[in-house]
Amino acid sequence: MDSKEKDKEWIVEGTVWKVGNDVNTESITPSKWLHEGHDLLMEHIGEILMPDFPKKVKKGDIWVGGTNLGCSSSRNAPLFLKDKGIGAIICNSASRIFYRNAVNSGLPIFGIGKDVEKVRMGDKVRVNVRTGEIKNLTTGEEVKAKALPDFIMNILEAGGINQYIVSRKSEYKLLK
Amino acid sequence: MKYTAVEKILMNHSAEPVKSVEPGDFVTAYVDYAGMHEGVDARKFEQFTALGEMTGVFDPEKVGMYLSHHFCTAHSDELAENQKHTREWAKKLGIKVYDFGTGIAHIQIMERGLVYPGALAVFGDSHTTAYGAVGAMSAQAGIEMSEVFLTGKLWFKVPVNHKYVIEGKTKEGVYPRDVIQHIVGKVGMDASVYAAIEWDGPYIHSLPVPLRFPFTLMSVELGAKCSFIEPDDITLEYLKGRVTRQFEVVKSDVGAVYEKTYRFDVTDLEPQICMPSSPENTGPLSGALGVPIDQVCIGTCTGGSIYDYREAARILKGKTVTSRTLIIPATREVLQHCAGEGLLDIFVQSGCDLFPAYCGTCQTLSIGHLAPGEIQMHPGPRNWVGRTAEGSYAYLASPATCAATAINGRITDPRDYL
Repeated sequence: MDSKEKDKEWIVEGTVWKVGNDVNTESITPSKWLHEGHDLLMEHIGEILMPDFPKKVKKGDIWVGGTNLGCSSSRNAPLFLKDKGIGAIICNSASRIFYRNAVNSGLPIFGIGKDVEKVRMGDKVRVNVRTGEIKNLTTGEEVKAKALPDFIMNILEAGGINQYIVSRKSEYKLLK
Repeated sequence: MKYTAVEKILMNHSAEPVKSVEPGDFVTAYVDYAGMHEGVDARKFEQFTALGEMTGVFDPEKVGMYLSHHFCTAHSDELAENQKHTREWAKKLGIKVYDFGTGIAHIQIMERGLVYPGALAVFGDSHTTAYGAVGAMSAQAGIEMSEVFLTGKLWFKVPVNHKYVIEGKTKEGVYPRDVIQHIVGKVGMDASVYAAIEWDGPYIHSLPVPLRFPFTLMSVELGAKCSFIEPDDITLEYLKGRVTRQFEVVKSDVGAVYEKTYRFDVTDLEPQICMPSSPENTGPLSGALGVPIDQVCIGTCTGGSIYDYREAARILKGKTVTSRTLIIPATREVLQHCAGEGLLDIFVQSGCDLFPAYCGTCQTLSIGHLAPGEIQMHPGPRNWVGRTAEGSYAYLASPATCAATAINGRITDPRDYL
């Protein structure tokens, strides 16, 4: 279930793919696959961290990380994870660049500190994007992330920063 | 209220008047410079075409495209086509293109005086933290560069501030590249996540500006959003003839708040080595001596300055390398200095190969590919698995250590040759 229309709930529900602390974007989207075309990148995305990931991930699954998730290179790993079907990201904390890339690519991301330990690899988790409520359906535990600020929610709801710009095209005098 | 330089720069660039800021606030600010490189991400330009037709950018004088950041030349049909498209697109919008051979974007941007004390800049690369070396505030901007190109502004979260104070004077054979590597190893890659780092202390202020670049540039390896060194007389001298516009130096107030302060004394520091495969995996060089190295690159954004090549040439003069050794200056300006000072002759005579300015083999996107099982050494900022072929590895060390290692084909202490 994944509905983004205004006034409706935006729920992401799926299986957890969990990685550790200080996971860098290189290990999610390696340099060697970035120039080999989108299809090959999709075949290999995340395999350095979790060999099964590219084969078994399903639409709406949830990427979970530790501290400093997505550190290092500024390549847009969240956009590629979204292309692969990931519906939301949960972490202890994210690197600044990874966080902005996720928001600007229309992929919800929540930093929840140590509560991330309540979510394990393979758990079923439900994320209410608008309220920040995260429920581990496997264990029954619930976590409440800080709701995202309105202007970030607007970008997410549009599907990303560029879709957000297009939706307000008349405000941009340099766009025909 | 006392403010850091970074907070002041955000306030005085704010699109709406702001009376005060504190960490965690959001500020929409106008930038003084914005740029992108060709990208390791081939989808980069879809973001612009997805918008419809762009008829211009907010100010063509303040925007640049850099084509020789990751690649020394177009080595494939696909890349050549991407590059052609980029040149045409930039020309249509009136954006200046810095083409093959000009070198690493960040170093060029500082050398060319496109950023200056008090400026606010964004660029599509994680190492954008670099421009704090000349007293600017600079941070990476990614897919949101479309918003910047169209409007000249972007939202920023006001970061917390961390101070890194470095005291002491290093021994011979120990270089700034060793010092920053030591710090990353010591405090770890999450020491300053989303923070503004300010470098301070007599050691930093004793360095020529190009040797300050590794500190601000590798601040992202500490998790930082931006990085800053207060401009001093050395900075202002460096900027003469580079920055043509007027600027005002912005400094942090005495009494500004720093969430954390880290202190280091480099007096007794030994040469450092970063082992495969994380910038954090660092220790004294003595722990890795003798490891065979197949390929050495002397260059990159944190080891390709004229100061680095002078030391490398001092070590290589009259010797012959046994590792495959690539000389890849950070920028054309550095290359010209190397030529003018006769260093290129020394490199060629010692058996090194010369390449155009670009970012080198830190990622083998262009040349210097490795086979599985091969090991390289370079002074670049990263050695993650995935940056080179599967089963190949990288050690990171100072350009002097790289030069000494190239002679023996094994990890070697540069002091053996000084």
